[in-house]
Amino acid sequence: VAIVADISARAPSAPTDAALVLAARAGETWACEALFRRHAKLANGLAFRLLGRDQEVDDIVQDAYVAVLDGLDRLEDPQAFASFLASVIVRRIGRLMRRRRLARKLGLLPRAVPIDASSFIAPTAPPDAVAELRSIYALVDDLPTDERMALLLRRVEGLPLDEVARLCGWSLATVKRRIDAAEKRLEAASTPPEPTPACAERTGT
Amino acid sequence: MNDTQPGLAPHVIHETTAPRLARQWSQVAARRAARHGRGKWATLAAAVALAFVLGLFVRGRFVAPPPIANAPSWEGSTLESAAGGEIVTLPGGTEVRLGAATRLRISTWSEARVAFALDQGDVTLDVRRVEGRAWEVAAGAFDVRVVGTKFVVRRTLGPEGDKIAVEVIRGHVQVRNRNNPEDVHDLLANESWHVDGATATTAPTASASVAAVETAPLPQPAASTDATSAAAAPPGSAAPSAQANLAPAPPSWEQYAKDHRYREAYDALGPDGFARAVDTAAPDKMLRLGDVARASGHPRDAERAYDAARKRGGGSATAALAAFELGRVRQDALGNSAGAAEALGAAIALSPGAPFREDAEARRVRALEASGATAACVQARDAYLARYPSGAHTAVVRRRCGGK
Repeated sequence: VAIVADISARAPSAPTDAALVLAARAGETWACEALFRRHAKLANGLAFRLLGRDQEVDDIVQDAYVAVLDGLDRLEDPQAFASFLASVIVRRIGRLMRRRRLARKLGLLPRAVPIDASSFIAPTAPPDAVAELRSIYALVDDLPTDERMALLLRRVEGLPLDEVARLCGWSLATVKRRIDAAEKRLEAASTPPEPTPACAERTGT
Repeated sequence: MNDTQPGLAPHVIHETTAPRLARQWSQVAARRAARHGRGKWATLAAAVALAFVLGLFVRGRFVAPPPIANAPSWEGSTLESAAGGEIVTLPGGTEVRLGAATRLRISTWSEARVAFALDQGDVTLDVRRVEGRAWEVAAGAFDVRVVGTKFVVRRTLGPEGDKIAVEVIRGHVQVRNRNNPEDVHDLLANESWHVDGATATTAPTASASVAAVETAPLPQPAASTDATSAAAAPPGSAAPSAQANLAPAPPSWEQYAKDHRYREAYDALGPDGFARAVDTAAPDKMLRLGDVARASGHPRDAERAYDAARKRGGGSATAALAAFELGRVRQDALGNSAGAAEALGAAIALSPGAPFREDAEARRVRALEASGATAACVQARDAYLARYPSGAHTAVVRRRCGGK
């Protein structure tokens, strides 16, 4: 899983996630903290990239950790802690986004301030990655929530389709359909519209 | 649908500072405690009632460890041992066993926290666990945090810096470098950790210099505080003068790297500094040096660092990751396909279950094709397709080495 790629490899001498999960289940607070510290950066990064903004990252990460640490008994494979955490974050953000969209449709919330992708794209990013990130984040707030999540997990997180399906709790076919729909919208948004006669008059084309 | 897109996440910057993580964790811990507390009211009430009844029968047979707040304060005390060592039992039952010629100061003594500073020698602590009380031992630039456990901290002063070692006999400790919040090591029973020639130490550690380091995140020059006089002074009284004496040092390459300022990180190493750093660093730091070199546009140096990390990392996960990164830099930046194939093969062999395995296998197929090793390419391709029939790179890998 791409999300956990950086975790185990860079701390070879540390106890495994499985050992920490078992200790945490036994009530050891230090193990809970160790699990938090080990995965917190990745959890924050994932939440930030899915939200596109920093304001709600803390709430999402804290909610997710509370849920995950309280639900460790449900984790069949203790080594899969990171994946479990990622799925909780993904689903919580999905729920949050759905509520927001509904509230906006009902006029209970103002339209979101557009995401400023240039504020978080790395200066070392190649031009094609910059362009892709800009176009994705310019669109995501207008996408239906499921398409948004599918597109971001696929294109930004770079997850394989089956992993997107597992994190979101969808079938593989559903994932493909949602990504396909999102990418069509992305393509349409990136394609300049045919000039209307009025435009043609103004631009002289 | 194209199934081979790499993720864009590495190009997204998101700062997660140590204070922010600490704040998040305190929120998580508080919410969990509150949640469990609510759920346990009924149980607690029953337990209190039961304890009251039982107390009528067993009163006087069990003596709880005395709260240290009620005991005389040991703050500012210095424990010193002669050649034979000493054993001291603290109020509350924690046993402190001093090795030969050891000096240990008690810098904080409160209900919530007991902190020691090991100036020299070795100390074995058998901590009596009390909920809500943290135990810490500062040794040079490192803090060892304790939760109900038995462990040894050893500090040897030498001309080339401190040698600090921690061995856990029972339970769990956490070793933190005060100068680098990223440098945290969790140790369980029978695990040990050590650092030689530790830099930016506060030798001999005094409460004054500890306070100064904690308030300034940058590495500090060694403070030549007199440990005896600092220990004799009221706690914390020496901190302001020590802070005033410590001029802010420029950020280290690691701090620049943490801020994603890779060019500055590379420059901070100075002329020939990169090679020197690679020669002396531990494998995980070599890996970081490789990242700095790669991201700052020095692929040859990156290759050198990754290669050193994989060779000196033995069969560890660090060595495997270094081999993978070596393969990437050879393939993407140096155009050395044969070298990339060799490194990627080593990465797979070193850690067959690593999360990067799928990427490593797919890259190796490409590297073998580019280097003209057709038979090996076909073999690697077929192995990938068998292992990942619907993998992220399946569509592309299938077309490699003359495939369709």
